[in-house]
Amino acid sequence: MNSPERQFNALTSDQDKSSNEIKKTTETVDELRPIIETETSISYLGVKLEKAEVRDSQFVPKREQYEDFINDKEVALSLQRDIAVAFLNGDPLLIEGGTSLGKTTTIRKMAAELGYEVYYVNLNGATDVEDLMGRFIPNSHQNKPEDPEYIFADGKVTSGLRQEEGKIKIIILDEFNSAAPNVLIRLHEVLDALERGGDVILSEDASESISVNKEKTKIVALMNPVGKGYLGREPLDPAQLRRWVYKKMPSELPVSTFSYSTDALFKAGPESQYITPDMFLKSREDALTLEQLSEIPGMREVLEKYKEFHKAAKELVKSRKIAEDQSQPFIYDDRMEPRRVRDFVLRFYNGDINETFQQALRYYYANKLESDVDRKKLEELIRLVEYKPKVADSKRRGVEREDKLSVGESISKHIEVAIEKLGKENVFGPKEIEKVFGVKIEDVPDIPFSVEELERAKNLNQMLILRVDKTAEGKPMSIKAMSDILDKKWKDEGRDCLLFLGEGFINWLDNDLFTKESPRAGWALVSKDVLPASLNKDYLEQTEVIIETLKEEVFKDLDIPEEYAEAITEFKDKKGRIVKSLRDIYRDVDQEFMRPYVGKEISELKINQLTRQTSAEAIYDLAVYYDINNKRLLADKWTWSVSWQRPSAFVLLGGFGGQGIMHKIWDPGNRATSLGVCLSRRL
Amino acid sequence: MSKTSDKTSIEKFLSSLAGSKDVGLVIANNQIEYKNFAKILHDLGFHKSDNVTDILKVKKTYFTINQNTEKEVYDFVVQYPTGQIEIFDKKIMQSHIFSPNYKDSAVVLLVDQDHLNKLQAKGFNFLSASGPAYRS
Repeated sequence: MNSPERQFNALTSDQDKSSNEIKKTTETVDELRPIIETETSISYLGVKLEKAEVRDSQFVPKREQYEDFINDKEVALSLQRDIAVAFLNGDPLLIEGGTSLGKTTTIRKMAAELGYEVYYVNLNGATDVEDLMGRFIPNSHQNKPEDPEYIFADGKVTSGLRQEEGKIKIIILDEFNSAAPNVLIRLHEVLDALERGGDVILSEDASESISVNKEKTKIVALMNPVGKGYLGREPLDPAQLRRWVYKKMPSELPVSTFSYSTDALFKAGPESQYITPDMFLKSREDALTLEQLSEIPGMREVLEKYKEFHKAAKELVKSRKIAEDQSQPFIYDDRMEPRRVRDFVLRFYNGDINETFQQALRYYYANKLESDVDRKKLEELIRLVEYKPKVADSKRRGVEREDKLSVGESISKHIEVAIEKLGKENVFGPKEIEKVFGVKIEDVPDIPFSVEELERAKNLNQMLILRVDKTAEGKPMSIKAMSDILDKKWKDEGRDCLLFLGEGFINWLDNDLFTKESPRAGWALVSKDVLPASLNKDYLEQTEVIIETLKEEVFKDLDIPEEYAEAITEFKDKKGRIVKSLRDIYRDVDQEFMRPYVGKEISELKINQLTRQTSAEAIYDLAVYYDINNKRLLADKWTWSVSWQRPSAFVLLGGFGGQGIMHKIWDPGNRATSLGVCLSRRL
Repeated sequence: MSKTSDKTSIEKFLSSLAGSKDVGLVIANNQIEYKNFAKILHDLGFHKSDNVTDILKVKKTYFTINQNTEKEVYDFVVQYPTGQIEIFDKKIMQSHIFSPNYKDSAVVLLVDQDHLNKLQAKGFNFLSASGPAYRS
């Protein structure tokens, strides 16, 4: 049976799925277009809004007015995406930013494209409640004595709230923080009614109630920052702000956006900017149900981490460690934010609960912050809201169960089976590890591979190795720790040192990789040489070779384990975008800033995590084999690890000669005739 | 600065407004200059509008503002660059919708410095809301 996660991805039948996958690859370029319009809908960075059925109205802005609208990515496109999310979720949106950002123009431009009516109110100055909600005026059509002398006339807000067949309306409340207090109170009653999906009672009319629907009426409030040259603005009460999804924009156009927009106006620059994949959201055709939500793998873990995140984010705001310079105070509301985050996940869940949840937190939490520094601080917390599947939770069955070895047989029996299949020189269990590193392992984990897999491993020239992540002293089994242990040991034995240049290794390697990264504990099957087909390939091409090897050799005629199937699907889904990102980085120096994001994304691909060694693991494996067998693997070849360091370079290791293991840090687009990849898998 | 050179520079400024997506702002330092600028505007074919709803009826138009100017003028100026203008008539509770035709059009606000200061103090930030500005 499919896991719930798979079921959500498989909205079509399995039969349709293969044709969809083919279609998907051809759509990759299309998917990176920031705005995609069809006859009935428009997607803004992946957030799809339906056009209004009735668009012929004087209140709908004319499209030709926006022909020279500049869709810069930093301000205009991200603003349209966020407005689209609010429209889709039915959230009232409050945008704060300087006048030059084009907030009103952007909304009207979207309204023109979508055929939505716009009801604009500027709350600066003499605007009273009745202007918004309606009042009695002399009846100019009074012809007969029985005709009323006065009739009730809608205000701008009530006009926007009234539902009309086929129409969708936007109410723009401009200069919101200039509004009189009684106006704000009345508007908040309207928001509460919209949230409830109930009625707005027109006290101005003494009787009428208007049924409101947030699907049909969208509310956007706009305001300039308090101070900073804007007179007459008062900070809003943070408690009032909770009703709104609050988006803080810069006070003025960022320098890069100004430069791009100006060049575009003068036709002096590229017509479009490269839109990075992480800017896209993907709205679902059908929102998940709450039952489906609860079935998503990892949901409970993510939820617990979200609670911790919310608490920490609140504390950062309260202690003014973020948003210190923002004149408009705000809070992260205990009731509103979780509900909004949940609704976001229901609408935008893309099969990756971590990514979807983190996108929601960026939208509802990070968007309230103006400075990049503050956003980075919060981003660090956002990244912690993730579900990490435990290796121990794997549904893979180990050697003893699959091959009917008796339950009571000890691990040593399983190791014997492994030795029988692979040869003693290719099995490194607890005894060997103790000999090499002096680590005595108390609880030896089960070997997670079947006899069948071990037999195939022999044909694939693999070894079975037990990795530990701690030294005998309980410190991380880092590259530095291994070097310290083995240099001393090997010197006594008359052998050379582990690392080429010894401590000089650190000169090129990130300090954390050198001193903190340790092997992932457990058994692994590791190729003793690089996969021949992986030589002279770039990093992603190597990953394709790994997938081919898994399909055609490792799991040939067997069911591909769920973890691998998911990892392969993920790679197929993301590869096109990553390749394009890399290409753009190589072509355009302005895209250099993307390197860390792309590097991280490649490194975090499940298939790379499952099948490549980290740099610490590669050194561990080479060291153990050499120590026990006195033979150096990868003497004239290199393997590309999954470890990367900023900006986007991956660590390759090899050239293991008399002076120790060598390493290099290479960009994933490079190739070399001696560079390949060793297949290493733990499941 | 001679009157002739003043006239020349304001003429240049006004001619540059044609097709602008923003409302231009002409700021007079005093009432004498204010009257002088009004005459120049008239001589250059700018039609004086007394009502916001008339502003878009001709291609070149100017509007005089002072501390008592109705809020709807501010609403007009703020919305002019956004592609659509909605002016609400409180008396009949109806909206008038306009779509500015920027091509060859020019809209100018004429104000003296004293009144501009008073408007700014009331929260009507015409300096920010308008586009190009001229003062002698």
